Amino acid sequence: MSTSSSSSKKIVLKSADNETFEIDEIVALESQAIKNMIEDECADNVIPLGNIDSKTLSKIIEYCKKHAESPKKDDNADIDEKAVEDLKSFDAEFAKVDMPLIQDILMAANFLNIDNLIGLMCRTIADRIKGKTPEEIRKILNINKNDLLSPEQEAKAREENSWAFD
Amino acid sequence: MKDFFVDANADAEIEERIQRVEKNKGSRKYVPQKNSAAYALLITLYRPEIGKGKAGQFGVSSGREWYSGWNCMKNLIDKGLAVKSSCPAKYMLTQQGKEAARDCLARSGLADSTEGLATINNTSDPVIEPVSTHAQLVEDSPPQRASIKRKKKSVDIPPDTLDKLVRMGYTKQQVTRAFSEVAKKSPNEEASSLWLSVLCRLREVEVYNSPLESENVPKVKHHASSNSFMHKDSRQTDHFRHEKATLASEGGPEVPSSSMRPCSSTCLVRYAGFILGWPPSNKSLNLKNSFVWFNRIRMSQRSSKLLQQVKLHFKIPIEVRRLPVGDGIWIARHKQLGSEYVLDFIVERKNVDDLRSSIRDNRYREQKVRILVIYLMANKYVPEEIILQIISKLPVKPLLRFKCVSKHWNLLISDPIFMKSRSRRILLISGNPIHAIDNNVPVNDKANLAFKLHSPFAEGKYASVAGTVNGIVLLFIHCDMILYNPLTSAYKKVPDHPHIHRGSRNYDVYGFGYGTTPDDLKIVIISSTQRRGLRSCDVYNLKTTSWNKPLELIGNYDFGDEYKGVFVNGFLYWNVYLSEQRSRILLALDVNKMVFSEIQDSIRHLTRFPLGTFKGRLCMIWLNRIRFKLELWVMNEHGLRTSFSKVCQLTSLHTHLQSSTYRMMCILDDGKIALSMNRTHKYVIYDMLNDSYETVTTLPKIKFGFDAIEYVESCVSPSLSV
Repeated sequence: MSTSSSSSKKIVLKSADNETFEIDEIVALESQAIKNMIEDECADNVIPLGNIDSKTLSKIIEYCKKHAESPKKDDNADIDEKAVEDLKSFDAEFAKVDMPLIQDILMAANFLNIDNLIGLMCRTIADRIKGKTPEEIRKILNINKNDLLSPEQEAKAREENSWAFD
Repeated sequence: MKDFFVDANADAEIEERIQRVEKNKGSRKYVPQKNSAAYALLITLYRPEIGKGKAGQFGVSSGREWYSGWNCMKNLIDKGLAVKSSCPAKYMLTQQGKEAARDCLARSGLADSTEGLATINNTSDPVIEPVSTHAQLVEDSPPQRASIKRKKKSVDIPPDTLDKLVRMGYTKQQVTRAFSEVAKKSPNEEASSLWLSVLCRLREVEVYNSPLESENVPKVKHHASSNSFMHKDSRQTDHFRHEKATLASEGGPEVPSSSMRPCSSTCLVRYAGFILGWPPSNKSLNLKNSFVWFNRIRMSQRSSKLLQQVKLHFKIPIEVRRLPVGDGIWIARHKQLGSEYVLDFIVERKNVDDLRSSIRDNRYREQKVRILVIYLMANKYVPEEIILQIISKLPVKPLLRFKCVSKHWNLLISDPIFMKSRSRRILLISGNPIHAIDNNVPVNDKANLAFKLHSPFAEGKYASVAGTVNGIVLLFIHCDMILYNPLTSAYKKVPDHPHIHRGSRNYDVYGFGYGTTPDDLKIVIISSTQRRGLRSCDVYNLKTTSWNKPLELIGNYDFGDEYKGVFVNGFLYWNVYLSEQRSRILLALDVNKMVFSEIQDSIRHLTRFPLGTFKGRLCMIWLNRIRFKLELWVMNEHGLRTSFSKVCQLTSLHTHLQSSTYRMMCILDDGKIALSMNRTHKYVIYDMLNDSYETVTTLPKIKFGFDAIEYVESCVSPSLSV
């Protein structure tokens, strides 16, 4: 919540396309992976994030900033209802991006170990795919052709769960 | 935490500890087994002491999971060989520890190096710039060794060779070191003819350990193959090999490890829960053939012997491939799909000196970053964990539909362990036909919020709910009892009682639960008719698939509408009215011993509302007669009067229920009550903790009333348990 962040320690992240992002340590701590690195004192230099492009990374930083600013649950004193609502609507708004970016954010969040963001992205994906047919899922999530059920197996699975296809 | 000392008392306590330890000296001395991790730590702690010649404190940045060998540190502390102080932790050896270390050294033939080590130059503090880290990497340990060697067998560099190389810009020290290395490798060569090899060696150092290296962290490309991370920038691999080679060739006490345990001066680097959460630790994966991949490049003859041993001892298939990092890694292969997963171990073999220096000069940080980068590459496929998280958030119908997506998804969704982790609670509403409400999906998702369940056994008949355990719901339909899994639609009829034939079961009281183990399932039916305050109870045991000798329940209990017992931790509970005392009590049945008991104390306030569970504990609604407000209470321990505690006040519920707009269906475990709005068939969720209402959906017009039960989705088969 404080605005005195200008004086705090900075962490520099470098995306795959060589863009650097300087962020406050408190923001970086949202990532368990970076937190571990800081604790082990190996975050003194630029942290190279070789598989995260700058578009994804800036989204992630946006998320971390917002969540780092919001009061944490265990502050307990009095949970600010408004802040919780605010964060909820931020999350909803944050997730309104196209599927490929969501997947990129998810993979990056998984790598950086940001639990809340992983959860948010998984919920978003689940929400988007739940109305789809199995065929559409295969396309969306790039399911390998070798991994498909045999026609007999698929017929059996459809038969057993026929009510779910209504 | 008891090893944790706050600064002020630290010294005193350490003193005390040391004294205590020294008193124990009489007993048999603990000396760690040779080549164990404890052994390495002990020597590591001992050595800098010699080198520094002062108090011998050894600062270690918190080990955490990085070096699982640290676990042995605790052992050392327990045995009194080492003590821990201050925060961040510092470790030092006790007198006894020093002796043990000397012992170890003597046994391993390293003791004579004590003198030589005395010349160790004080390694400077952690170096931050990659440039110096690298310089140190090369510079750190070798010089000492060179000096040791010179004592035993002097290595004479021909002056012209030295000159030539110094003129090329290498320091005398570097040249000496490289020379001694090369000379050792090829002892039969004429000293003067070695200069070319020495130069090569120096160039190697220069190229592979060049400071630019770490800035050149390999760019990660998105490859399509799952093991593309194996074909990485070979320079890095070479760098590693080179580093190893340096140490090995200089006669460091490298010992071949004889097992996969973190022993034999092996430092096991663990990255659990950090980068590598893949695959998940549960058994759902159908993994077989845990592989160990060894780095081809670093294979020597000795290593291949080691591999043979590992193969024989542990029956693990071993493949030799080129690894970008580490000496070996664990790989698991999916049984059906053949896809490979990197398990969370990377094995780095290190000798004692290397371990010490890598901790001291923080080189391991750099290695860590490198390993981190490697895993960027491994992670480009959607990891299983993530898929699990996504599908665990799907409602029932899409979940079942997606069994057709792929073999992998089919396996995951059919897996009981996955289902257990998903543990979605669904409300089942009795009626004709039975319906379910999934309160986990957003209110606007009408298709998945309320849906008709597939119940072929109840065609056209009204089904009532009598209880639920582990995702199996006990239903009764006229005179039949059915065990039903709403998720899989599997069902099984409970065999009729061989002698007693009842008409309609609608007036009986039911209980469904288990005793000591979940497979010890029992169905209890308390007869609706009583004679002189005595009722008979039939018990069906699902484990023995037989009807047991009937029980007797004595007492004038009025069950009222509460015909289904609530099962919590081995007990079934009913909220009953005692007409003589004009009060309500809890009637409990110990499902294991099959004994009834009353819980009467302090329950004067119990209301007629159904019992339920709140976060797994029995909960009930009491009336506070003074304030005339309803309250939610829980029982934390069975039958214990003092264990009742108030959760919250239900400020507005009473008025709503009294005005009879709402009818209570069922208490939900997350602190909510499912209500149905009379005549409108609206389904309303009352949040007890926030005292708020939310209209969720309009229920289909089901025949008869609204009895409901909350079950947890599972794959448990009802036929297995009958």
